[in-house]
Amino acid sequence: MNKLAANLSMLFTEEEFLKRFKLASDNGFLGVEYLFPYEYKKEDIKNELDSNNLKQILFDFPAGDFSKGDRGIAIFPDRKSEFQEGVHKALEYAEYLDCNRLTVLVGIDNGKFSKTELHDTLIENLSYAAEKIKNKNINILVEALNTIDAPNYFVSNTEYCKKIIKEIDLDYVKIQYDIYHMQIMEGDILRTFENNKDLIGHIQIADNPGRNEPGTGELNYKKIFSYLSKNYDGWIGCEYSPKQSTLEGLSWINKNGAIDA
Amino acid sequence: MPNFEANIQFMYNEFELIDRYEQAAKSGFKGVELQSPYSLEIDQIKEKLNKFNLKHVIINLPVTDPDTNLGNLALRPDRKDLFLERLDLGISYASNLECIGINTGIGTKPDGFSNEEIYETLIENQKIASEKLFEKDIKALIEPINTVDQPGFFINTSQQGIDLLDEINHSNAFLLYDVYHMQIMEGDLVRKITKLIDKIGHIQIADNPGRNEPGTGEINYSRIFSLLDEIDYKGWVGCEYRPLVDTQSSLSWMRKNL
Repeated sequence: MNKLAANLSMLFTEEEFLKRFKLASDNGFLGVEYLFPYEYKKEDIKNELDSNNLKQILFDFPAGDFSKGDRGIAIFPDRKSEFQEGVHKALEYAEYLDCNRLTVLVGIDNGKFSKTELHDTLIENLSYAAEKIKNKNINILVEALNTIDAPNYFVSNTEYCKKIIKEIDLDYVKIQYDIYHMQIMEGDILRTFENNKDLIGHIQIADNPGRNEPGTGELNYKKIFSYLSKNYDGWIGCEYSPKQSTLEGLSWINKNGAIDA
Repeated sequence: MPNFEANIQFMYNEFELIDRYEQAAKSGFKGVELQSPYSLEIDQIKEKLNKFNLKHVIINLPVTDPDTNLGNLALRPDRKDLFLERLDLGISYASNLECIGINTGIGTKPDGFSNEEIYETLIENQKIASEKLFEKDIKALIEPINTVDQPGFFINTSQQGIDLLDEINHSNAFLLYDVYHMQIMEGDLVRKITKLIDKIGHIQIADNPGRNEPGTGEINYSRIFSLLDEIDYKGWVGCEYRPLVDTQSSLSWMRKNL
């Protein structure tokens, strides 16, 4: 059976953030994920998780200023201290919220540094995070994004993501496999998952094109869910933008056998 | 819905090659494609096409020289003569069968030559093929193929296909977009098909992984077919898949999508 987590950065955005937990729970989700908790008090979030009987599945390390175009800072030689401060903040929230997964957004290559400098900084930052997070039952996840939505994002395919994970070589540093991003960048979804499943620590989904709910695009999510229910026991984050309202958008879950499979 | 046609190299394997035309027509197909018709006589095929009211949509060029057993002829800098011989044979079949196009076949990189030499040869051969086929009103089709099934195949992505078309620079040269191969190599099907539609001369389908009929894999073919209507694709869609169980039971996807 597939375990679905509602992504509260994209679902239930009809309501303000702290009210989305209850909506997720009311609609059958057992877990939630989102980009960042940091502008809220961890006590307030914990209260929502507990009162709605939800698991905190994942959120991201601080990733710079999204409004200024940042999509992570882990690759920048001149922002190492900012990244490292972020690790401590993320860890503080994760431990308090019992969250077992933290995602690294690596950043957009702005052309100021060589590829080697960016790569080496990323490895250095990941190693730093891994050292701080050791023995805390938390996985660090590295996510590749597509370069249509995020031009020049530094890690944009599974192969490079895997290379980074192998270089770190710790069993709690893994790939976050976002099927939407990878369908745009490389296709071959099921084989790529199968070939890398030991390294994949989390999955996210949306259809393509459009990043709407499963069933709205070119992917056969019915088949993908049926495969995952037999070959994956982790969580699946529903990180899509509902085509109409969130509630109307949820009908895909039964139509696609996402949880009944 | 698009005009589906049956690839009788892959489908109706339960029957002798010559008998597959009849079987395709019985299933309701109005067209067929066949990579290699060369074991059959042209007249023999024509009789079947007439009798069963079928269009022979495409064939492939013969890929191997029968005397030397050399393959990948489009890529051999030292044997352009053999490519031209095979081209003439392909044209005689395609023009007699009134095909809309020939898959000119590219092949696997031969040993002993640099990539540059091979690419120059491919461009030169394709230019000749495009022009000769133009005179017969038959499209020259180039098909990128995935490297999981065919490691070393020389053209593997739609971008490489488009780059090659730019080099060939002939109004009669088109892309054969095989959804199965492209899902393995690059994904992003709807966006790519929409962008490339003016360069696409023929489409083939199968699901992935497995290369079985639509509905057996990760591609939502209902969406692909509705897209082809939206962007007004007038060409044929070749069903080049291996039936998961048998050909008859593999056709239920088509009824669902009609």
